Amino acid sequence: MNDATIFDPADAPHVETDIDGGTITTTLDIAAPPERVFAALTDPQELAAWWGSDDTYRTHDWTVDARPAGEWSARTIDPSGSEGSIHGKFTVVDRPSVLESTWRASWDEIESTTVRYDLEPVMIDDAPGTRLTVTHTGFNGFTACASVASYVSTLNVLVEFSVPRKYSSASGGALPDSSSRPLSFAFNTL
Amino acid sequence: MPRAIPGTDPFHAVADPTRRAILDRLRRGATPASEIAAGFRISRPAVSRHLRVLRDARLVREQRGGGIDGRQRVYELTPAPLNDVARWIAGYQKFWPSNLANLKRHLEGSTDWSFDRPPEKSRS
Repeated sequence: MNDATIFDPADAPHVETDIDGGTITTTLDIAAPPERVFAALTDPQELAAWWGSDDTYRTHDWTVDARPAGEWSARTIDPSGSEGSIHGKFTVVDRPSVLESTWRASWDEIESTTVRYDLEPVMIDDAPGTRLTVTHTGFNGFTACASVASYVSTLNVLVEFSVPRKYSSASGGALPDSSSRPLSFAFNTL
Repeated sequence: MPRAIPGTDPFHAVADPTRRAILDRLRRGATPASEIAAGFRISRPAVSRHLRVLRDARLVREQRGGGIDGRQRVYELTPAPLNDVARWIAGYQKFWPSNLANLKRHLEGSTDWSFDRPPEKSRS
């Protein structure tokens, strides 16, 4: 967290996150007008001040060319002290409503994903505020694998501890039929 | 996260929809190669190539001695490497809420930006 010694966790902002179909969506309300939020998303000094945290990574040396096809980048340093970078190219710049760019972190395993910010004006306590939605796309297929990984791991543990040996995979037998069990994603639907 | 050696990388292995479909098929249990191939319109050698990629990425395990005649190769799902994929995505699932909370505090917390500025890191 950014200021763990200053902020009580009970004061942590409410954030909603959803992942479906290869998309991560996060929404929260901020008591500042869209123009102000947009500035914080594109000003190198401000980005260096708020982006990241001590338990993820910190950033420095931001460059931001906030116009279509303009590029942005920053250097990163993680808690272990190893350095990296994040960078991308703007695809939509519609101040103060939409900011969209490609996303690539030096630790990412695939070439490029897309991050989009939508800024919607809302009233918060009778003052202009912003409903900010971040949509991170490009995980198609990978989310299915992530889901199935946890699902199959659970299944294997169940088999190991509660199913008679004749069903064990070591004997070449089939695992108990899993088709009736809940599963968020199936590989072949993506 | 260090990248895996090309060819053994689970990210590469699961990037292909046919290979994901094969993995999905294997969720039902260990399956002889002929049964796997029967479920796909592509040629059996093509299926074999996909199985080899999955095997190299350690997402499936090959055993001999399956099938009715006991002479077929049988493939079994070994999903542990998928945990790397899961961790990578889970990282972003955790990162965005945390990061937007930082932005909210930055904008609402104080008009003095230095209040939010992280302490200078020593680069010794």
